[in-house]
Amino acid sequence: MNNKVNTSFLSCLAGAAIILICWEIFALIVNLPIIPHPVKVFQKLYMIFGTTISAHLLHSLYRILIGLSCAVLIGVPLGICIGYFPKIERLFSPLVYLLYPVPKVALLPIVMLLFGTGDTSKVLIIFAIIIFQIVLSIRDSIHDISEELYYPLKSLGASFNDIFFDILWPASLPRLLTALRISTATSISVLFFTETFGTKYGLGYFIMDAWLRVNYLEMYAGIIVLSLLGLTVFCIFDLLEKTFCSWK
Amino acid sequence: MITISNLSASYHSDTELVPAITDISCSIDTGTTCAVIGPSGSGKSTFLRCIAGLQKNGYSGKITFNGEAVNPSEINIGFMPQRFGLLPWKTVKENIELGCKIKNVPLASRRKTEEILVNELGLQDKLERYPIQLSGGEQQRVGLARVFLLRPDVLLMDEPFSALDVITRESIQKVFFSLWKDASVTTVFVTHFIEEAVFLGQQIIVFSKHPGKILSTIQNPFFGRKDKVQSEEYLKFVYNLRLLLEKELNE
Ligand SMILES: Nc1ncnc2c1ncn2[C@@H]1O[C@H](COP(=O)(O)OP(=O)(O)OP(=O)(O)O)[C@@H](O)[C@H]1O
Ligand SMILES: [Mg+2]
Repeated sequence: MNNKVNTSFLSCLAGAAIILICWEIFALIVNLPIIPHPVKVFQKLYMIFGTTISAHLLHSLYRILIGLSCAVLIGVPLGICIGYFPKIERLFSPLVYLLYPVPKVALLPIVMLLFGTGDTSKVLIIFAIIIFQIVLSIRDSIHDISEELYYPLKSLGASFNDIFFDILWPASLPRLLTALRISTATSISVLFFTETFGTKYGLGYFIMDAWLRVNYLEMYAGIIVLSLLGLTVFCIFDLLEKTFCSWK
Repeated sequence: MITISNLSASYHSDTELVPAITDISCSIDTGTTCAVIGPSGSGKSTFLRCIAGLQKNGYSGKITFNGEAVNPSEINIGFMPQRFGLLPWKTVKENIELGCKIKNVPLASRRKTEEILVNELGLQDKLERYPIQLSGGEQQRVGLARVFLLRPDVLLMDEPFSALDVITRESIQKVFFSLWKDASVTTVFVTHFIEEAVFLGQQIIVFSKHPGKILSTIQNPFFGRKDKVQSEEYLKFVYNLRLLLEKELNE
């Protein structure tokens, strides 16, 4: 187990090294301020992290976490109910299907008109994007449960509570984590986009602001922090999956 | 006593209702065992599901337990599905104890039984594994341990020993037999092996081919009589059963 973690950590480092080397080579070839050398960017990042970037990072982190948590808290029970109760499925499934393909970012103007330009609309957009993936993947994992798994419980008159905790929840956990992992990338890009409006805090604002000030080093520092934020969230879900779904 | 009268059940195919079992009537006395044997697809699993109240689109006819409708929250029905029904996210130990957990049977009172059972079924060094890490036969033994540990009022098992090699099968048949002698659990089990039906079924119900009805209900004089397997009467009895099934399939 430990060995496995070590090798995957090493291969992550190797991956980072390859990216940095390519970046450096590219910077050498292009030789323009818009492609700065990675060393300089990291020096800059080190200098401004404590003073400015960390505050922006916290704002972005806060929005992502609230959006994700709300999507999980509402999406999981909803997905389980849709998957388990055919009546609820008949009611909700068409709704989910109709709304899922609507590009939620396009709704941003409406959401901002209704909820203002503050955190609420930013969180809402992230929530609206992630919840569909959660609901659908949980519904699918409930559908995939073999009928036979219920028999030993139902023949003993198991309550819904038993069925929920012994079957429905553990059966949907792996796909929930996969859905969350996949939607991390989407929600980070959306977060970036929403933070370019109506706020003075958040990594999205920081990056665009640095760009407008033609401060490319700060801009790159912001991009790196935003990427690391995505990477961290991604790794956390990966780790949760490895810990709680080891039965797979 | 389990009484079944005029039981029929069917499945929806694309356009029509396809009957799986038709007009089944029989009764199983409390504390006795009943073997169900019949061609593949004849509705044996469907029959067991009906008794346990698990048949999704229901059935027509009447099934009673001591005169009352079967209510799973009042009586304990231990059900072992054809493909064992183990929960993949629970370890072997958790799977074995699941029935007791559902019924709030204090596990402390079953520790000794559990230990003996696990040893008899040869699972002692597999308790912390997940089902996916077990062979088919091992999974089947976990399913058996689960229903045996609960010591239910009614035990329904769908091909309970099918995935085991001959020698293991015989030794686990004996485990079941001695458990049954201790507790006299009313048992209905499905099997494809005539010898198994004759060893473990006080009553043998023979199903016709699809759609299943009862071809014959036989009181079995050789129940539990391993000592008789060489005798002429035994061989004749087994041969006649075989003939009955063969004739049904060749029709
Ligand atoms: N869920 C289902 N939907 C439609 N038809 C079904 C379903 N389950 C079973 N059947 C049909 O009902 C009939 C009886 O099935 P059942 O599983 O009860 O047979 P069986 O006697 O247990 O067979 P086997 O010995 O192969 O396990 C079969 O013809 C089968 O095709
Ligand atoms: Mg069957």
